[in-house]
Amino acid sequence: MTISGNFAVSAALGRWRRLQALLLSPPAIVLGVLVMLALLAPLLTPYDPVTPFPADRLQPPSPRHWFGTDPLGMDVFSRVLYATRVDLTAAVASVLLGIFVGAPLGALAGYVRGWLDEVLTRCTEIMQAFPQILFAMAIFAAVGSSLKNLIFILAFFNVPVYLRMVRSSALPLRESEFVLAARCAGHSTFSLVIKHILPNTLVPIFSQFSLSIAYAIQMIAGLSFIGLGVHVPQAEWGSMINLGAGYVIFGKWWAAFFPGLAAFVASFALNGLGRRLKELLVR
Amino acid sequence: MRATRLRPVWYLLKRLGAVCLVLFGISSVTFLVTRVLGNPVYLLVGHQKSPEIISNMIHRMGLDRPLHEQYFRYLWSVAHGDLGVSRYTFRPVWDDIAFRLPATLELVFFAMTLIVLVGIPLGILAAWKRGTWLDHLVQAMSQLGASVPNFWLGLLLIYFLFYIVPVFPPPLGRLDDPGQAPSAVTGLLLVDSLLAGDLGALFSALKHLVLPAVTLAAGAAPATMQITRDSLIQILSSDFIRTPLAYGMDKRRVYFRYALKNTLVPVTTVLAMTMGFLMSGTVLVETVYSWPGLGMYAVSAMSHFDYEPIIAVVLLSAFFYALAYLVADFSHFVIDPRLRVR
Amino acid sequence: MLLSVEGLQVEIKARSGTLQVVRNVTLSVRSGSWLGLVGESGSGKSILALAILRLLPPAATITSGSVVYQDRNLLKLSEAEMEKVRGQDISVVFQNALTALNPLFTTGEQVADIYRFHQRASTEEAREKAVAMFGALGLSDPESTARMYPHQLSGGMAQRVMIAMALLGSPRLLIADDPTSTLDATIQAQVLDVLVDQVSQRRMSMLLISRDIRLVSALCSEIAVMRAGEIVESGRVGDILSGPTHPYTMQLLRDADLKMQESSPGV
Repeated sequence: MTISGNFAVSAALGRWRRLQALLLSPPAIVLGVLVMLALLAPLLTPYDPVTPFPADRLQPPSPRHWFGTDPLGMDVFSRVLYATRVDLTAAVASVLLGIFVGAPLGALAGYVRGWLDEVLTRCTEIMQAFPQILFAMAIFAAVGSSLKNLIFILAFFNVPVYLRMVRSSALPLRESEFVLAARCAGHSTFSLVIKHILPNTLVPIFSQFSLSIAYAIQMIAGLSFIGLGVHVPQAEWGSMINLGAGYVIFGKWWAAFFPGLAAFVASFALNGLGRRLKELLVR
Repeated sequence: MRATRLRPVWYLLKRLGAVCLVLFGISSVTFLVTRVLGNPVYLLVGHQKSPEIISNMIHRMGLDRPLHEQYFRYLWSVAHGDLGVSRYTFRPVWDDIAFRLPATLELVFFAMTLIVLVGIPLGILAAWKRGTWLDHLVQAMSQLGASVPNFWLGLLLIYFLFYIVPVFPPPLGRLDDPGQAPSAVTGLLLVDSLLAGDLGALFSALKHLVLPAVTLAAGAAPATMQITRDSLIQILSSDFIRTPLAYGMDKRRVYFRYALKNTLVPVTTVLAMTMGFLMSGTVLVETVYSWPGLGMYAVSAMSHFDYEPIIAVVLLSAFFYALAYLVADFSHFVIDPRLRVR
Repeated sequence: MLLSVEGLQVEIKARSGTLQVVRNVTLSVRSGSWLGLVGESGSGKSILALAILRLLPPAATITSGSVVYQDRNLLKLSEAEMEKVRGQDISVVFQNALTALNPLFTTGEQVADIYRFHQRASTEEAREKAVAMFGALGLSDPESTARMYPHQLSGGMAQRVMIAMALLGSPRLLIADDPTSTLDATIQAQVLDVLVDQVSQRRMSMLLISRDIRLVSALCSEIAVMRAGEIVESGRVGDILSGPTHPYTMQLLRDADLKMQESSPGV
């Protein structure tokens, strides 16, 4: 038995153990906590996140308002928790949408090749050459700003990423035995791509998924910060930072700080998770 | 095996052609999206207005012409540098942009300098000292930096370095006092004040530049550091680096004489990419610091549903981005002899 | 004994654990003689070569054993001392010459660099020496070859460049790691001839690593058979060929169609 034979046996056992380590790793725990907080938000927050109390404007953190209040008098802690729901959901939704569109297209491109592949590849090159925030702004100016549009635009930015990823996984599969067998059995190209090629390209998607969500969170926060996407008074990290930004120079830091902290923590945990997933799956 | 030498001019032209194609693609897509997906008139005027006013506006904006005609008129005007008139400032967009461009350029170049002086060396250092605490530190910094929303970081910097400890001036513009501005030759304050010999203005401009530039650089630096490190590690473990080591050359000499030149190729690509990050980043950073550049221009245009300026800014940044890649491509051509073979 | 490897163990750290790639390997090369190391891909032969010169990748470590060259244990030397050994006492020729050369520098520059490093010669002298070596190794038009970049060379030319680099420091021992397997069949013989020629002219010892037992038996006086990191059999070529004791060796000989009878004439 050669050395590579020895490798295979110990690899299988190691992978299971590493999966367990992954689920208990710090990023995963942090994410778990965040998701719990988001789900339990109504139970944990004493204040309604969208009701302003003008008398309580810009109060610093205190036992009554753990994160203080913002310029409109709303409780920052409650808003951060509710915003977690909005941001996480929007980020996940946009990435999932990007995958649903990009992955099949990538599999198709990688399998069919030819002019379709050429066209799609040129398209992804152009799409990825866009300065993203600016392009998003241009679209918003035309279609109006709403959370729905925000999700669609971010999905659009995710499509080329997953298209290329799946395509490069699909390219070598074209010549593999099971594909040739299926073709001989008479499967149509479409069912071949969906049922056979696609499932075998999914592994690298998992780690990229986590990283994409981390990036989406930042994009959502950034775009909302300049006024796109979610409207005041709905709770969302970026627009909350926008509300509080002007008061930082006066020393009133809390309204802008805590939502940003939440975005940072979420993004950091997702990036950490994505990295570990990549290490786990690359082999 | 002989090599047919590819003349640099021809190569440059080819790449230029590719750049034009990309720009063409971007402007087309932008056009399609804005004209087809949305109806700017409704956004401007609202649904309540009478149908006459709306159709009047549509006619004035040229939106009632057939789509392909609109497209050609658009391409024609862009090719001639006519980017339309801002419906908010009532000035030609081109003038608005020319006025605000230097501010953004100054910011971007300062940030780029920071990245080149700090980010890339850190990446190189991390690769050389792979596996040591230094490498882990650099990687941790990069991972941390990639997760921080950089406009939030800007606010933190303002809080700590302006409010708590007043090291830097308030984020209200490029100079302490607008009257300080030296006579505008290039619009770049650093250059103009040097030309005018006005050290006071120079110092003031620098002070105002630091925080925004650091914030902007901090957004792009993580990716730069990481990619530099990864590229160099790959180079350092390659066969052709092992060869001189195998014949007795010491590591230091091998790295300096050989590895660094090999690293130039991925590093120039990274820098072009960084340019793209920086240009996207100016939008947010300028908003945080009230920096009167293209970013703020685009944001304010957007809030007024004034979409000609936004499209113009999109095209302009795509152009700079493409230019950066062109420079990187050309430097590859110069460095890597393999590219000179047909 | 010029080189004596005893009980060498090398392990590689992979994601799934550590793997022993060289297990308790003992072999030796006598001064002036050639030892052939035979085994399939993945048997650890190349790792062994790298281990001797302490050029292992970061993931691999030598866990025990000794490598004694002229009464010095190489594993105990400092890096600076080891640098003196490489190229000037022990040299190596790698398998794939085209990837072993730096694509951004001309062959002349790379070879001259090595020479200048060993000899403290001037740029001009080093360049001339490089060109002279190229000529001696059978490269037609050595001047223009020296000005070429690696991607402009054929496999055979690149391998000759490597041999030039290996011999510049006048080493006593050459480790040739499968130097011809990536070349076309017709070129293989030529390059091998050049290598053999140079090594014998300089009266060097050689550790010839190969997958081809026929090649090794033809050129070397002693042979060691390696499998899955271990030396399964070693000894004089004549003895091994006529009376192999290990089943793996017998398999190799059978596959190569090479069984010497005790009284076989003319071999």
